[in-house]
Amino acid sequence: MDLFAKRLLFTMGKGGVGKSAVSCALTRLALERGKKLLLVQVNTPDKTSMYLGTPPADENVREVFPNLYSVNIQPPAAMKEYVLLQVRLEMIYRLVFENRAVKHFLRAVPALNDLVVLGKIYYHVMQKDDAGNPLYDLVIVDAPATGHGLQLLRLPEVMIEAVQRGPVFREATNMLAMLRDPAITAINLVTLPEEMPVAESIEMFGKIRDELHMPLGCLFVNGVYERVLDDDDERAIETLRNKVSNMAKPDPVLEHVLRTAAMKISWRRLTGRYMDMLRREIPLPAVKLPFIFDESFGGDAIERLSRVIDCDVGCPDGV
Amino acid sequence: MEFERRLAGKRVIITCGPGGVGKTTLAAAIGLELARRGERVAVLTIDPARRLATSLHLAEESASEPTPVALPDEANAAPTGSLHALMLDPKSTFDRLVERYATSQEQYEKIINNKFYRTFSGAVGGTQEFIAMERLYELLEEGRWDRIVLDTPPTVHALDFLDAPQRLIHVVDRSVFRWLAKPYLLTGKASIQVLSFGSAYIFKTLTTFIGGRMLQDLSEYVNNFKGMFDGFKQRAEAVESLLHAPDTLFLIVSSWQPNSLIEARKFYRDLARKRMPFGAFVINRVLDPPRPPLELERLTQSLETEEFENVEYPEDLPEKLLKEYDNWNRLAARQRSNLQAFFAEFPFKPPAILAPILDRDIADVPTLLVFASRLFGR
Repeated sequence: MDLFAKRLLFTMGKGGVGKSAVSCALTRLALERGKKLLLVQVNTPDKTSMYLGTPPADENVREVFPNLYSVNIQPPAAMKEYVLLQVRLEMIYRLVFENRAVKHFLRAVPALNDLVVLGKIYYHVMQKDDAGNPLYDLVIVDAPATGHGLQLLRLPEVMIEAVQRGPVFREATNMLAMLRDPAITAINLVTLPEEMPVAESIEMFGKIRDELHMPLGCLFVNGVYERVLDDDDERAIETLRNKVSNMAKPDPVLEHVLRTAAMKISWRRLTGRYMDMLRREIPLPAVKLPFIFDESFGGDAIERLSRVIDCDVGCPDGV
Repeated sequence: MEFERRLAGKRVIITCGPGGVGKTTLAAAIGLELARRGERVAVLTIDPARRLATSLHLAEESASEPTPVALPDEANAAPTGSLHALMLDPKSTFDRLVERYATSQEQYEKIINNKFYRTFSGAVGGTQEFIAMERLYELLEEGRWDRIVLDTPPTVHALDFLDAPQRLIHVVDRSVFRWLAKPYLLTGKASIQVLSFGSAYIFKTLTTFIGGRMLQDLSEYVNNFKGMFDGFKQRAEAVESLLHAPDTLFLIVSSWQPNSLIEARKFYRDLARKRMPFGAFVINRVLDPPRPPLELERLTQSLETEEFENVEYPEDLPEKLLKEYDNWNRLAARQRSNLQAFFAEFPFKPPAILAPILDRDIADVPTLLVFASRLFGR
């Protein structure tokens, strides 16, 4: 699957699994392929600039690197933009939407906030330059964590059902068509080989495929321990640990080294079990990303991840 | 020791923080430890991992009510102690709230069957967060708990749940919603002339924006709540003051990863701004501090002593062990510098508890007990 032939990529997963790292690695790869792209975050403390070495994103779309545009969508600002597109007059906006009652009302309906977020994404995917070509080759959305992320994707359908006609209905219908078009959209899952993230991604996979009927891309598994110790090593370590634990005065350095190794063995085994589970339950092209043991996790780490992804999904028939 | 002191005298302990950092595990471990020490504890969780949920009996139907968790023998529990766990069921809690304040059976049914209510469990923002607080309040009213540990929903925005009571007060405030809840909206545009010029204009523009039908549905929804506003408001105010009470304590849970720490800091600021009682940061999955670099020779020698004479191991084992040792050390160094950078941004070092990483998932009560013992420095 060539993710970079799409127009809209979502990076979805539980909080803390490394969605932003994957979004940034994909961003790098898209830039290397000469794409002009927009990286979208949704109402969050900025998480991508430290990985890309760019200025932090805010509510305004800005070019932060040649060909790379970045935005952190804030619902109130997006709401204003959306309304101004429709009613066109700033004065009317102020009169109506900055009315105290209306403001509280709009804030209280979370669905409307999500709708303008999605509306903004739709707008940018469809945005044309002066020559009538798409303004961006690719839009990458570093989506909110699972619960909210799914709510965002489910919204067009909910709105279509709840509203049935009028402007919101029309907007929602367009958004849904975009999200379901496999030529445009790919929803990528990001996870860690741990219990909760794996359970959530399995559940999320089912919901996106069977309930939302939206096209899925790849499964990115972050933090996979590379195997250093083989079976013989592991057996020897266990024997040595038993000896050490029976010694009256064990060498503290050796004790610590063995303990570290044993910890790593346990984690590696757990990782293996969860990888098996993912393989069984999520039939998507899977990209295993190595656990990075560097002393810092920044641009260099993202580069390394992007190299691994490049091997796996870079070519048209990859994975 | 430190942790124990922090929690002393606190009746309500709330774990909050970004998603995926172990809030639920921490809440369960605290509950278990306090129960072991002889207290009657309820742990209210939102979204536990399935295996942990199973071992706390939360996978069952009845889990929305406090369900007893047996303390294992090795806990050495004081006989007075007990642990109950329950899971938040937002829908039924909100239904109960509506039932309590509905002025008639008819009103109750109208609300419960409204499209918006069903779709969004109430179109009111921050509902789940508010519901967590509401459930907490119900538990307090029961009066049978020495301690209640509350695990909060994994919201990215701390404000969502801190604001929930306040926001509900705003939303149901009559002055704000009066014009929307007026029955003329139910009859559509025909009676628009009864509105003042300003209101009519606002209404018309809003209609262009979100559509008349939806506005109508929404106002019907709001209209349904008529008469219940006072009850809701009272309740929200009670919850609000509960959050500020001197025997309430917030713990901010975070991993040591930068993105998680960024959010933890935001939680801290939000708590401070709202003058909520902050207890401590709990940094989860912390590795031992880095050790000095090790020479291969030193390691080889220590394996060549007579104690290990009979042990056979692959020739390159010392090298591999060294590689693993270095890997973990680099990771521990990264953790240390992340944490140093995090704490350096505070004018004083805030209280912080470091929870150790274990070599396995924390998915059953015995493992939870091991975790608790390390957490409380037993």
